[in-house]
Parts: sequence; structure tokens; C-alpha cells
Amino acid sequence: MAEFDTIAAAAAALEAGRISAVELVQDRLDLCQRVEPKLHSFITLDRQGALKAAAEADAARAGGRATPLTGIPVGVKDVIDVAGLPATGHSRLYADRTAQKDAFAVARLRAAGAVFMGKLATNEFAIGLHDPDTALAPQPRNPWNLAHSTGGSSSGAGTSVAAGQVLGALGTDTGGSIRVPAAFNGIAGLKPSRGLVSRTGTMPLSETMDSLGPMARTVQDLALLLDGIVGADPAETAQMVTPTGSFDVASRDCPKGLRYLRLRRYDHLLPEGQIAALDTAEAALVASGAEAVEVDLPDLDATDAVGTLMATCESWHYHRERLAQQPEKYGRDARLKLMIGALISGDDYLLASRLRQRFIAEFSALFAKVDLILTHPVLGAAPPAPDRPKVSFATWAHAGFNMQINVIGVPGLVLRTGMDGDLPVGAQLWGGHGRDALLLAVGRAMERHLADRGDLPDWPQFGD
Amino acid sequence: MSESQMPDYRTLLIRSGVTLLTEQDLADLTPGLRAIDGKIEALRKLAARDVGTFPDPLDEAVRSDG
Repeated sequence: MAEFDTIAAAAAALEAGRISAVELVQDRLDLCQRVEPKLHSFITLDRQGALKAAAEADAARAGGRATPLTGIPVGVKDVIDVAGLPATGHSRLYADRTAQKDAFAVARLRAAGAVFMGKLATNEFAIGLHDPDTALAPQPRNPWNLAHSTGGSSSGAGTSVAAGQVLGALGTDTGGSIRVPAAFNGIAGLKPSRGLVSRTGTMPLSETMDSLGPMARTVQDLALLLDGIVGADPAETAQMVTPTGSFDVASRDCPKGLRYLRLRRYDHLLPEGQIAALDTAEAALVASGAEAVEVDLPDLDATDAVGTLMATCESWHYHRERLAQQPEKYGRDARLKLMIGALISGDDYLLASRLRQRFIAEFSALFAKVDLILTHPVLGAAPPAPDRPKVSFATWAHAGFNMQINVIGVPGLVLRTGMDGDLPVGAQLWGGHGRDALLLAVGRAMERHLADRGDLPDWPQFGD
Repeated sequence: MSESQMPDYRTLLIRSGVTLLTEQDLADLTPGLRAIDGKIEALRKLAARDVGTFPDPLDEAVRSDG
């Protein structure tokens, strides 16, 4: 069923009656049976629940109650609650926890008829590197090359979508956790504007930096998923952006004459394959009618520092008491990363918070002069994945390429633009706050251009 | 920063409620803690340098006293 390898294609086939949801879901379960021993995308695979939901989706369609997501198999990162399924955060603290109710976004997807295949692998609490001593499940593997990293923390979302086990997934992003695994696994991922997608029912890491967003094989599929999950949630603590209309419809046509800035500041750190991927992305942008402009950027290092300080402090706040009472339940990397927040004072947190408002204003002024910023999502293709990753806090604390958009709350879109050897490489676009539909429109136009040129590789295949 | 100027991270962490801290943990944590200290220092300098665009709210409040 390779012809139904995207949400849009599968939705069309379901609507035309060329396939049933039960057949589609059974096909994906068969694929999971073959590839899960290699990929480990899931912490929990819910075969019975998925088939039951697929049958309900077929019944809904027969009754004239179908949406574009009815019968579509999706997965959910295991920090987001799905009623009746385990919800562990990949932590031994919550190894026996079962979610009692759906997260807000999950409830929206369920109402739209999506079929939940299970809970997807994540780094522990979306922060800790895989620790074989405390892990609940094996480390997921990159479907393009099993010896390489999946990225994180939405690791299972990246692998399962790339492998075709699910057609879409929900991930979370505090400083790149949707965008990095999207890039490493060669799929599309969107960190939405702050306040667009509710985080209610998600294990928090950072109150003010966390985002929940869609991951899928194409940008159009992201738009379809976004249509399924947006909505005003009174329980959300971030000020909600009121969505208007369909993101799928609004992103079909790309406006001409958009102004973009290609961020070249980090080019000296990038491998050739990543530079080539950005060159390809820029050519696709130009072919879509965009024009390059040069403008001065706000202080990116300071913006990153604001995000690192605030997110580190906030994550310590959530875990302080649990860490004091049950430190042995945490993996070592998660435990040590969280401890760093203990030494950030309230004074320094407030300083960072005030500077954040300044950077939000500066970037807002910037996005009056430029519509898009083109940059890398991560430093090249996925590196080899060691069985036992080493902690490296100096590197972590200087990471600094993705956190900025969580600080300023704008949308960030990652899409694949090429290959470096046998591994995918991608590009990232930033847009102004609330301009998610524009970002998706540009991404769709770029994908059309790349597909027409034959620049997009076939998806990884797994034999019987 | 010389060795003698380095904060006593062990004491600070324990006072902050951290438990299960080994010598190896401290050795692995130290680069991250120093990096965070560097970021804090950079933000403090930025705020101090940009008094005009980053006003001190207390200073602003008392200025109205005349």
C-alpha cells in the first residue's frame, strides 16, 4: 500500500472507497510487526485499540461523518495523554501510569476520526538521553540507517512517520524536539506559534517554551493535522491564538514576492551536505517567487541564553521534589540536566524573562521587514547513535540553534530538501508569530518544486 | 575563571535540594554549570550596557519623585 503513504493520499483513497480504514490500519500494523524489532518507534503499540477505532472510522464514513483525518493512523509521543493508554514520559516514575483522559489536541484528533496506533518513543521527560540502565524501552533507530541517531526528543514520531508505521504524529518541542527528529528522519515538522495549539494533557518540561505540534511526511499533511488539533482551550496557560479557517485551504497557494533572509552566520559549522540542502531549499524558495533580502538580526546568542536559562529553571521547578524524593528513578542524563536548574536564581530568571520581552519586540519588528528566515534545523545529517550516550553538558549548554524560536514564540517549519549519503538533510523556515499558514504555504510550494525536479528520495523500504 | 574563583558547586547544589550527587556527577555537571554561569554573565552585561532600551523599573518609578 505504498501508494497511500501520506495523509492526503490515504484520505483520498478512503473517501473514494479504494481502501477501508480497517485495511489501511491492518497494513500499518503488519508493517509494525516487521519493523518494530529493528526501529523501536513505539513504547506502547495498541493493536486491538487501533483496529477497533478503524472499524468505527469506517462506520462514521459510511454514515457521512468523515473528515480528512477519519481512519488515518497516527501516533502520539509518550508525554501526551491518550485516554486508556500508558502515559509514561519514558520514565520509571510513571512506568505504571495510564492516562485517564485525552490531552486537548488528542481529543480533537479523536473527534476528527483519527486512529491512534499507540504511544511513541521519547527521551525521558523529553530531556534525558537514552539511558540503558533506566529505560523502559529500547532506543529507537533511524529508519534510513539503523546505526544512526533518530534525534529527539520526539524520536519515535520521527522514526514511525519516516518508516510509514503511522501517517502522522504529535510531538512536543521545547528547544528543537520536533524539528531535530524531523530533520534526522527526513520528514516535515512544525513547531507552531505559541498559543496556537493547546498543551493541556501534556507532561510539561518548560511552562513558557513548550509547544505541541504535528509531524508528517509532507507539509500538506502537517496542515491537515494542524486543522485537526487547533482550537481555543480555556485551560491553556499561554494566551491562545484564535485560528481562522482551514490551514490546509490557506496553505494551498503561495503568495509571490515574499522576502526571505538566509541565515549564514553558522555556515562555518555546517557540513557540506547541510550547506547543499540549504542551497536546494533557497533555490526552491526563489522558484516559489520569494526574494532575498539582507537585514540585521537581533542578538541570537543572547536570545538562546534567555531560552536556556528559563527552560532549565522551569524544568527544575517541575522536577525538584520528585528528584529529591526518588532520584534513582531518573536516568543519569535527565537527572543531571535537571539539576543545573537548581543554581539559577530568581533574580537571573527575571532578568532573562525581561530580556525575552525585548527580543520578542525586536523579532516582531524584524518580521515586518522580512517574511521568512531560512536556516538549518541541526548541524547536518544524523550522527551515529551510541548504545550508551555520553553526557556532555558543555555541548548541551551551547547548543543554541533552535531555542530562539521557542523564546520568541514564532512558528518553525522543517522539511526535507535532500540527502547526504544515505541520510536525509533538511531546511528550517521561521515566520512571524501567527503566520503558520504562510509558512505552510511556502513549504508546500517548495515541496512541489523539489518533487518536480526529482530531488526528494523514496521513503525507506522494509522487506518482508 | 581560575580554579580558586570557581563556585563551590557541590555545596550550592546540596543547599538547593539536590540529592544522590556523586563525584562523577559533579565532574560531568561542572562544564554545564560553568556554561550557564557564562550565559548569565552575558545577559547581565547586556542589560547593564543597554540602560536606555532596557530601563530599570525601580529607577523609572523613583524618577517621578522629582
